[in-house]
Amino acid sequence: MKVPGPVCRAAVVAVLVVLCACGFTGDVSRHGDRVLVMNNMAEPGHLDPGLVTAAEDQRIALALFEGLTVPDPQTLEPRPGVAESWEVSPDGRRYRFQLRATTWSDGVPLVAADFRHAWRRVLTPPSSDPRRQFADQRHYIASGSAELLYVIAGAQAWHQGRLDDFDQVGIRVLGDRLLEVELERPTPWFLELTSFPTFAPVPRAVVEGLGRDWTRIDHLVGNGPFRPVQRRLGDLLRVERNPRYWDRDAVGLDAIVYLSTDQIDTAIDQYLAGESDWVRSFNPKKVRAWRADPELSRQLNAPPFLATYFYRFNLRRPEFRDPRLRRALALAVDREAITRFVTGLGELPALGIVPPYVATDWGGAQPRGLAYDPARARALLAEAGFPGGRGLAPLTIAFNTDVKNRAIAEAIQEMWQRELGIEVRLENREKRVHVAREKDGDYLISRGSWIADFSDPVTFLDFLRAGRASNRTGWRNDDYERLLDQAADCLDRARRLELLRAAEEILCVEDPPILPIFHYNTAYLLRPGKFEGLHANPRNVHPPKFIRMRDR
Amino acid sequence: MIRGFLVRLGEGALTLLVIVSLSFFMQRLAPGGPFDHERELPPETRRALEAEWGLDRPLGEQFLGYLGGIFRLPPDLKRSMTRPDFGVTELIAPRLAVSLSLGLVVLLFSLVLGIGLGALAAARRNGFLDHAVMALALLGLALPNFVIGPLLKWVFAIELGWLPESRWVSPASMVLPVLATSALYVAIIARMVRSGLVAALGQDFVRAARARGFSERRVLLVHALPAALAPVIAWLGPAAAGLAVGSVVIERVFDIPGLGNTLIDAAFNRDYTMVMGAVIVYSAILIALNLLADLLLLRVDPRIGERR
Repeated sequence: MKVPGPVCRAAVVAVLVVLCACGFTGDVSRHGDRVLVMNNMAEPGHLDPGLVTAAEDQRIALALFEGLTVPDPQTLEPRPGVAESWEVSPDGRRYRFQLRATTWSDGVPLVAADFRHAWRRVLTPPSSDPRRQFADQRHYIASGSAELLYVIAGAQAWHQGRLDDFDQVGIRVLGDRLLEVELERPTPWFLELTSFPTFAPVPRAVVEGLGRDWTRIDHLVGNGPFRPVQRRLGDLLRVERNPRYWDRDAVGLDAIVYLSTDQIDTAIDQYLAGESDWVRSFNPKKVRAWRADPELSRQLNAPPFLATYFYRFNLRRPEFRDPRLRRALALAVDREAITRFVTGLGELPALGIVPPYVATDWGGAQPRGLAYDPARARALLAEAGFPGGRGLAPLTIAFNTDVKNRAIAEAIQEMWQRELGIEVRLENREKRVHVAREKDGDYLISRGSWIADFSDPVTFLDFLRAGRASNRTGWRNDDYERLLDQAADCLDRARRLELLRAAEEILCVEDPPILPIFHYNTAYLLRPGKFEGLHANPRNVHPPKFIRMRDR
Repeated sequence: MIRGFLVRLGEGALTLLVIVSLSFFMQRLAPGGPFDHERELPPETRRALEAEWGLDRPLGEQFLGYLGGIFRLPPDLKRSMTRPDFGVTELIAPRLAVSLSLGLVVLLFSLVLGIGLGALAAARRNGFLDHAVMALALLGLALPNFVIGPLLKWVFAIELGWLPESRWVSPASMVLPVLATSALYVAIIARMVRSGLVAALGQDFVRAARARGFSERRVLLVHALPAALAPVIAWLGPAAAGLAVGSVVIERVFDIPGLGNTLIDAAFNRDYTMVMGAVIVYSAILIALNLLADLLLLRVDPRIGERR
């Protein structure tokens, strides 16, 4: 053994060196008295509020930044944030915000110009166009959420390079603590938008001084109830209360730890082992077993979520030109069976695209026109020229790889084969491939989902308008366009909802480019009796400033 | 020997270049890109992002630009496309340290246990211990780590609560992943050592050693073992490769913030720069380990060098 001797010694030394460098830093997650540890289900992508799109980033942004308003944890109604009060003009197009005297976490006063600057930054993607070169060009960002700001007058034109002067965009700084916003058209959900990270202010001097490094946690300056104190890549992000936050006495937690675990099984194990208090938004495979367990069923929450699961029909394909085939297919899907036996979270079967709980005055009604009716489906199929499915080439359902997507597709495959005699094939695709193919129109029937941007039915109707990038079906219906245009300018709420309901009738019954299947429930595990200020709400938004430990 | 080493080094560099080129173009062939989401980006945003990452330029130009970045000191692996606040190097370094420390501990643990068990079995060949060790080894070979991992986790972390169930917070976090990964390697090494020893024990030089009156233990450990280890060392290079790849599964099971986990996520998210960075680091390590194994072999058995 003469030769490997020194090698062994070298190996031992190497192991020791690596062990010292391998990054065990102890479990800091529980450090402190009033700490909430949650599985955030992904490594944060962006801490810059202007760049935030993913849900896991939004959760963190809500702790670090605050917009003009903050959503009520229960009703989601706007509550004062940086704005202490506001006035709305009678035509619903002009909002005047009175800001409170407050500061950034570094003590610099927060002023109305910080909002204008932040919104301009989101609306100005870096561009090679010489007309779009500015002195502070390098601080602008390519934001995936810029479209949310299109409600502001001129914002869309500016973002698309059709406007040369930002002063023409409807954002006016009338004083250090007075901000006026002019909207493109009346937007009843505007005060909900102003609570989104995209509408949060950013500290101009810090951003311009540090460039993109400003979101490093040792540099980051925010105005939210919490400030970041520790980040370990692939492991966790810890935030602690911001001593300069205006409403600091109302903040109930000392710290929040966001675990980056992205494996659902691992996250559940962490929860069961007591390492985390809250497993957020997942697709539980074990729900049935949990429901049966008296202890776990108390910890499992599955409230309705403002999102819809549906199939797109590709209308560029000849077989789908005739709406009768699409309607026959919709009529042959027993959605109740799917929500009862396949999805299992108590989801609501969807006959329309808009979840009935979107707003209290939406009325809870769904279009009933294409409810499960196999006999009518067969008759309609025959009318369309395919009696008993004869003459119809096999239909392919494409979905992104996922156990649940497959199970749903298999159920529908079986229903169409049994009721209509149609041969159905399934094609699963990796997530990004699925999106890319769908965009290229390379599908026949394709699984999709839509999550509400805000609590108004229009968010579910707008994305399928002609020319919208997220339409992807090639569908265009002039009556639908007209109804939505009318609704957009309608100030009478009841009339507006009526117009939207008529539009949904076209979209989901008369000439459907989509087949709605169910409205999502979100599911989470929350340690019972430990926290309060956390309420189930249909946007699954839980502003961290309202969360507190329950006294025991 | 120096010449042989240089030749192998050149081969290694060439291999790396081929791997880099293949991975660069292969991932671009896959449909979907880093900016394809269920919710479409506004075209202005997409254009700006593509310009920022150079994706609007011809693929060949992008490739040369990327090569220019990595064949430079220090190499520039760019920023991660999905975590653009961080450079790829910065994201990989802590994960690599985790993966490597896990891999090294597994390797060392497997070597010690595997050689020990193999020697024990050889010394008591055809006895009860021999059969017991070989039966265990067979079990280690048969059970994949994605079965052993969750099983260990369930028993020791969840039911008994003795050890942390996942993540990477203290050396105790290492125990279950190391056990789960090592099972296979211990089994392989034990079998190799046993058969190597059994073969060596029948050879002339061992008989000569016995004839000189050395104790059976000394004959086994000092005379026969080095000869029996030659195949183990030759196997070590590729095995380290297996270890690097195998630990991807274990990293997933125990949610260890290692490189394997990162590579999988990056590939699904089409984070081109991150995938390239991880592939380069993986391949460089594999090539280096194979090179090292060749060198070791050269020292243990000089005939190999002469043949070259």
